[in-house]
Amino acid sequence: MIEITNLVKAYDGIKGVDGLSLRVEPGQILGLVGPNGAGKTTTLRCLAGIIPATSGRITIAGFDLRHRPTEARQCLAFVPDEPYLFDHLTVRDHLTLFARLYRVDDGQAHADTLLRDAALTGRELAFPTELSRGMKQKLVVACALLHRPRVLVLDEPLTGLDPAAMRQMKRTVRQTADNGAAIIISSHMLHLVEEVCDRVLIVNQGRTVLEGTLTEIRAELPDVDADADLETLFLRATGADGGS
Amino acid sequence: MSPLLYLAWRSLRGRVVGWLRLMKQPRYLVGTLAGATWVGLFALRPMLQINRDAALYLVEDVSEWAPLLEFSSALLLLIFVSLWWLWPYGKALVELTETELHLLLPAPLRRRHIIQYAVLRSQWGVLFGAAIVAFFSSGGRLSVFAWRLLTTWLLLTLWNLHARGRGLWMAQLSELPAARAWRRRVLVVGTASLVLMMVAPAIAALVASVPDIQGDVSTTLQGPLSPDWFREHHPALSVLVLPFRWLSRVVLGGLDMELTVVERLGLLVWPALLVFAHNEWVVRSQASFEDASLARSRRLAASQEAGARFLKLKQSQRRAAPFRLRPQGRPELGILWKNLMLAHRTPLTTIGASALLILTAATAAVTWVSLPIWLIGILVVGALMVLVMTPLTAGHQWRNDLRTDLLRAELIRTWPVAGWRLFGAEVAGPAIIASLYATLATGVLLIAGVATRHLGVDDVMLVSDTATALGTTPLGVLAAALLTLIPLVATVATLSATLQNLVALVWPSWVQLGRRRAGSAAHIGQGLITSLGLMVAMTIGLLPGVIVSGTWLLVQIQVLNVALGAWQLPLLGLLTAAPLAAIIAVLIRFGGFLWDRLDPSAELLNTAIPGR
Repeated sequence: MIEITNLVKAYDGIKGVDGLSLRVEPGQILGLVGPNGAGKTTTLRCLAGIIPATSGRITIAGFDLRHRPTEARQCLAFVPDEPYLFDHLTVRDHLTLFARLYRVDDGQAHADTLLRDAALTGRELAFPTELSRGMKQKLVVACALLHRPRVLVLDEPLTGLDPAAMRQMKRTVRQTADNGAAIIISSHMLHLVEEVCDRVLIVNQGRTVLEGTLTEIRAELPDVDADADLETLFLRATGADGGS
Repeated sequence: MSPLLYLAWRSLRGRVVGWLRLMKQPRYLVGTLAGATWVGLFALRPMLQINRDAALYLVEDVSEWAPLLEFSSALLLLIFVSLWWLWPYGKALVELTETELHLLLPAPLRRRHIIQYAVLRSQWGVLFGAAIVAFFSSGGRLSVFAWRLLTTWLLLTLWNLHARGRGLWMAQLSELPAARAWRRRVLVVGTASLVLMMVAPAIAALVASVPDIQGDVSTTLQGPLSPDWFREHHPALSVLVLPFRWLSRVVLGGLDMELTVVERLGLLVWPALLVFAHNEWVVRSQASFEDASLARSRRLAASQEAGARFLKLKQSQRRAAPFRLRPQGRPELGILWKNLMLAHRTPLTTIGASALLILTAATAAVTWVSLPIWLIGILVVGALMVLVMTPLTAGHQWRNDLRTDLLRAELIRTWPVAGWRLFGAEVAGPAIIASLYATLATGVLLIAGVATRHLGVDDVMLVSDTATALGTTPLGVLAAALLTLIPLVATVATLSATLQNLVALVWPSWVQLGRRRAGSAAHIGQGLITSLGLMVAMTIGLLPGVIVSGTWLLVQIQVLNVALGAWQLPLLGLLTAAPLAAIIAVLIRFGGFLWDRLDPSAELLNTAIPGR
């Protein structure tokens, strides 16, 4: 479970995230959407423990990130928007390293399954520079899923993936949620969010604008069609549709 | 304002503003002040004093030698330039970043303006180099400094432009029709060869006259070493050297205190004209520089990463690792495993076994075969240098630690490892490698010690008396001394790596992250600050151990009257290293504390901070 309460992240007094709160239950997928500079990545980075929050409380699988960071991180996997990998480690090395970092007893066997799912079988001895961007992204996801995280945070997960890989990624995310993980996906690909996520959180200027299922959000907004898609709702909620 | 001039101005302004913004953070301000104080008090002041004395000596004594210096430096320059043009390779280097290349080349800008922009950009490096030369050759006098700065800048700029011009010219040859390119090349090679053929007899005559030089220097200067002698015997060469003499006169003219301001300025006319002409030659070049520049910018970007060199590894090598990493056990060992692989993939057991085998074989060999004393001397000096320098510079030499990992802060910050454990694991990489080198050096010292037995000169290692005092053989003393050194060098190496990593955590913006070591002023300053920290920490760390060990020795030998045994030396080594190890432990905890509280937003993640 993920719980963020009144999260604030300020840079030199300027708030990038301003009192954001959210809650994601096990098995649930939350879509985090917002315009550029809305504070999505900052929120995810605070959640992953990459940058410290100025104030507020973050709980991951019951562990307070501030007071029990190691336990919280043990339950978490973060997939950043850029596939950060080590240039001197092969695909297999990455999985070996992550198995040790997260103490995955069946690391070898599980890594083989993940490599097969990611269509990376046969590329075990390749270095990241020998992989396409999509393959790197798949490897990052494989590393993230190796320890069967209870909380999964994905920042723009479909960037650089081909259609088949996109479908596989969506399937993997859904499967991970079905296995009981709480998941947050941040993306500008609203069709993905609409297709995969159970709930949506629209942020703007570091604050929550709307949160709920699509039906709930439609109900919150006046003058929208009953079958309005997420793009319409998003533009209306953030005022980016020019007030039409 | 021209868009490129505007870009250059804004880039400079951006750098200054960025630097000032860093100063708003107390840790950067304190670092700058500490660094400036350290550099001023301990590095520049003594050097300034030495240079002042040297400069005064030079000014007083140079007048007699000035014609010779002027002529010989001009001759050397002529030879060098001729040889350089004979060299058949050259690249059309117009140093632009990948971003600049992608943004500027498609823009509606004139080609010569883009090249001029690149030339202008390179001026920061030229100016910095000129300022350094001027500082160390001015003897602390402002007027001399100003003159030196001006002349050095002119000459370095000329050199810079000449190198660029030559590179572009060479690149253009490959774009010309073969026959035309060949004609041009023949012309240049022919001219350069002709010059060298003219120079050769003059040099030969000069060399032949050297044995005749004796007695009064002034007489010699009037004779075969004088420019007049060259003018008389090699008139064509004298004319050829003349433009180069006008250049060398610019440098030497500054030493002549009798020159008026107008005369001094007159000296600058020729180099200034040359700079102007060279600049026109470069910016008007029609050579294609785009591909070479792009390749260079990509190579530079890639040099920060380790990727390229690993691609050459064979499949079997890619399977190798320093040690087998199982899923169970402390996670931080995984970080060490990863970092050691950045240095080398050879298994540690293979390295250890090979080293042991080679050292044993070498020891056995020197037991039977006598080595010449000079070879033993080289072995001893080389091994001692490695033994002393490697631990001290461990943090400078190897960067398979946090400095490489900070580039992936977004990844490693999420790892479930306590801050101090992660920091300790990062530090261990360079420390282990340095310790391995130092251990290897101790092995070489042992071999050298064994080798001296044949010579019957145990005193070469200065151990005979000590051996007698300790009641053992010289080899026994050596072995004990080396066992004493190993914990000491290991702790010093760890301290060096710890301090470098702490600097990276406290001042990430000042540290060149990645594998590449940079030589900019900021990085030199950072190196100096780290060296200061290392010295202070080592003094604090070693002092308690030395006091404890000294007291022990005093009590045992003077009070209890018990002779010291060779077996005690390693124990004393451990005793001396223990406080240093305690300091390292504290520093690693501190590093972990900093890591846990690190906010990499602005300095490492390049977060788009709202309002900026």
